[in-house]
Amino acid sequence: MQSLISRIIEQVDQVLLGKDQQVRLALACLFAEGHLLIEDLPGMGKTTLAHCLAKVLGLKFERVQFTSDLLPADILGVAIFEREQGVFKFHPGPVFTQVLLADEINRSSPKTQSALLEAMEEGQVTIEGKSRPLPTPFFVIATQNPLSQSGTFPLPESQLDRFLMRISLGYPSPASERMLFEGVDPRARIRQLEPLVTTEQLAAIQTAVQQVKASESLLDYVQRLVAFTRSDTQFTYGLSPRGALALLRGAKAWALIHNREYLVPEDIQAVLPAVVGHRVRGRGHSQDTDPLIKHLRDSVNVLG
Amino acid sequence: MIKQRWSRRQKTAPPVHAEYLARDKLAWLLIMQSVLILPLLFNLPPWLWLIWAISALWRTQMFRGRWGSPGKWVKGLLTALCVAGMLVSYSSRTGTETMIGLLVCAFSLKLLEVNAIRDAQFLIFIGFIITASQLLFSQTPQAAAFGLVSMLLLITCWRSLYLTRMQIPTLRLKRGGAIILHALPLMLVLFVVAPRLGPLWAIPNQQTAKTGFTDTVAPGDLGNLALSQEPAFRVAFNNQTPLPPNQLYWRGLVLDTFDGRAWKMRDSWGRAPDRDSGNKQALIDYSIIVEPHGQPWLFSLMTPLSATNTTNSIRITADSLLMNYVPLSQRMRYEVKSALQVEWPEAPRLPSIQRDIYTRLPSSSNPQARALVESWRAQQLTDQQIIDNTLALFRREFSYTLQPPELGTHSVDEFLFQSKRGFCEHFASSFGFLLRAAGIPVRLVVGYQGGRWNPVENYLLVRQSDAHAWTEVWIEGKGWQMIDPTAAVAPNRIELGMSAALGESDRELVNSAWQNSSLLLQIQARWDAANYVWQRWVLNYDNEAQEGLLSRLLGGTESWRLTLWLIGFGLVSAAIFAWVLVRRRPSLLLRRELKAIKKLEQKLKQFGYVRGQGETLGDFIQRILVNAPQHSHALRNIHQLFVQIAYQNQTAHIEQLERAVKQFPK
Repeated sequence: MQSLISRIIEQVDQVLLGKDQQVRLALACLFAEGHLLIEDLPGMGKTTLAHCLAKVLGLKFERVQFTSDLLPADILGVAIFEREQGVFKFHPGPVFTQVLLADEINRSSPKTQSALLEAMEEGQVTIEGKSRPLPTPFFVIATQNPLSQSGTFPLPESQLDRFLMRISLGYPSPASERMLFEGVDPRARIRQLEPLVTTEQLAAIQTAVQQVKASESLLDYVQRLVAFTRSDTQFTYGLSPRGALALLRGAKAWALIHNREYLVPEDIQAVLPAVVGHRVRGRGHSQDTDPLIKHLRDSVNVLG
Repeated sequence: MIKQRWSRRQKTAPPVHAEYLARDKLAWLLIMQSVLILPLLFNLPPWLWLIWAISALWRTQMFRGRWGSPGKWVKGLLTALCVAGMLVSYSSRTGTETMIGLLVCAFSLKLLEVNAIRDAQFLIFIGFIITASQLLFSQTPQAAAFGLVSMLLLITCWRSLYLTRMQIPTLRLKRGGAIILHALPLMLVLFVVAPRLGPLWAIPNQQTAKTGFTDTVAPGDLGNLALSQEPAFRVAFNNQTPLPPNQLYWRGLVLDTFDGRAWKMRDSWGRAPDRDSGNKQALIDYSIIVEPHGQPWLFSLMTPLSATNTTNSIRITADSLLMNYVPLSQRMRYEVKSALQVEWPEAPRLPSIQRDIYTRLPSSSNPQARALVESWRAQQLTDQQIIDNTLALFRREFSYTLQPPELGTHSVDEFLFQSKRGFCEHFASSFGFLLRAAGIPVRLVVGYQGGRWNPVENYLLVRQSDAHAWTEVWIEGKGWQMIDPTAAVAPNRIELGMSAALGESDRELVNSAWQNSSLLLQIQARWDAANYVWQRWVLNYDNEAQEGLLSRLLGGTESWRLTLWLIGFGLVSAAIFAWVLVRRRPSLLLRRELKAIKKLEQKLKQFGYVRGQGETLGDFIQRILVNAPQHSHALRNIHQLFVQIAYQNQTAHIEQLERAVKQFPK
């Protein structure tokens, strides 16, 4: 299983040059059965990352470009009257897939954003009173532009909470950018990618994530972190129990990727910005929560 | 557009350390201040109301966004107003009240400047001093309760300053109350053991007129007092049942000079008492807590033998009265021993100078009364017969009332021969006049008679309405004897209290609701009892009481004993505190591997390496190894062992870890 995981990382790294850490986080998110939110400026490789992941994991991939006039039916599907048979027939929308890339999700109206809610949380959609299960596994990889850009509808807290992780890619280093210029077009590389895992293997990895052990000492540390977000004055509101669980889940996947079947504080600290960053809010209501997370990490004693 | 506005706002935004107060915090401050300042405003010059009202109004309008913050001229004007007010009110005296006045000015004006959290803190700190200074004006249990409420508001307010999320007011008060409750045990302990220092400043004299009588009694003076239900003093009889009402004559003053209308006191305080001769019997031992009445005299039953208070400021005068060296400006408690009967081994004598004083009358006043006495003298009546005759006259033709007609210059004549209706001082005054006219030495005594027994705390409450005047007559061979002419007219006044002796119309004057409802009466008794307990156990808790209590609790007040107890008490509380800490944080003491790492950290500290709070052990060791690669093997080993124990539950390695830490850095 370890060699499998490292082969996946290797493959994606070949397309997304110099983004080792972000690729691992994205993989950890998917292994932990969580949805991923990628936030960055246009052209930084968000879509490429999503595309890569779907291809390498051998999953069915659909992409929806969110716009301000996108309607829920455009994603979920509609029932259309068939004149010949005289019945309504359901035409499933793009949501019925295994990896859904919701590109620029914050360009669409809140109504459409919330249509994804049930799908993300329950793994099913309800249309015209009938619940239809989605295929498994089901991932949503959403990308969004920074909120300062015009024409965006910020995702409400409740919806942000459904994403296990939020990561941003950032500019590439000069060396990797040069390699990008000199090498092959990334799109061509994606086409060359071969699926590395089967659905069964993916399920086994996901099960293994759940079996990663968290000792008493480690849970103490997590509780100290959570308590700090709830009591420190720099936080407007603290981390919810769901957030705390997400932190543990993300860290477990991270540990597995690093070939350990037990958690160490380093795992928690590694996924902390990605898992907690979008679930807390600082006093200044600033969108950039990195300083806040750094404050959290530096203030809570690791050893108790 | 929006962006523009935003950037403009950012330009004027305050620096981070001076954060603006949120509106709800300001509201709390306003409420807190208006409650705290209220009792002081009632006690201080009225212009302070104006200062506070302006400040509060302006702040409220700022709060609502109607007015801007006051400019320099407004602040200057208000300050000038305060200075002028202070000069007008206090130019002649400096003292505690002036200081409190200044404090209230500052407290009011500061409200206008409260912008940042720091300012609000400042306001709260002044608030604590305000709460304390409120107690300088009144030390009643109500004032103490008010102080407690003030503290609750202050603490709640202070805590609210640092709240970042909304909390409903009741929850805030509850949290504030919890803090107060936490402090309460310490407060009680400090109250009991802290040394009692004398007051650093004098408690300001209250300007309001005190209820009570003066050293001049003219007809009608005591009748006004009868309408007042205010307490005069409270008496507890030590180990004794209360006396029957006809023996409860609380003497306050002896008036020995009559000017034709009013009785006055000659200054006779300097004379030494002659109370050592005579055989004292029926000793009564009692303690009295007297309300401040602004006069030096105190009250006692006839023939006080000794009177003591904590400051030893009481002496006994020749007339067997108790006098304090200074007028009473606060409640005082004193212990008295009185002898109800005195048996003289040989007949006491009245020196002729004194006989002259006690029989002196203005020569031309009240001719009709003189004529009456002369007619009695003409019948060769004895002194005793004249006394009996007078009392019989009163009993026959006179009535007792609270609303006697006004009397003119010859008050005795008018009373005896025309109105024939009067209050106790009318009877005492005319009785004294008749006897003096007959050449019998007599003096007027004012004080209180009776009192109401409070069964809740077993004490006697004497109120202003119990004020009374009676006479003392010199009987040859017996000395001064008490004779109460009012008792002849209205025996009920003595036996049952004043309202029983009064007619229907009078009774309405004396707050009949209080007298008739038993429930209200009970409430009144309980409330008064609470007041009494407060006075007795809280306000009177001085050095002596402290010593007594400590020696009873601890078995002595030697310094080694106190030290031992203090240390013991400190240890016990520290143990309780530690126990609570351990229960809250079991991980603090239980984990052996953490102890080992703590030890390692201490060792590394000597080398100058300190682990940051958020630094994991692995990162820490990595950091050290960059500079000190020679420890690589030892530290990596320790790290590995720790990870195995703490995160992989392989607790068997604990000894190995401890050994490794012990051996480090060798």
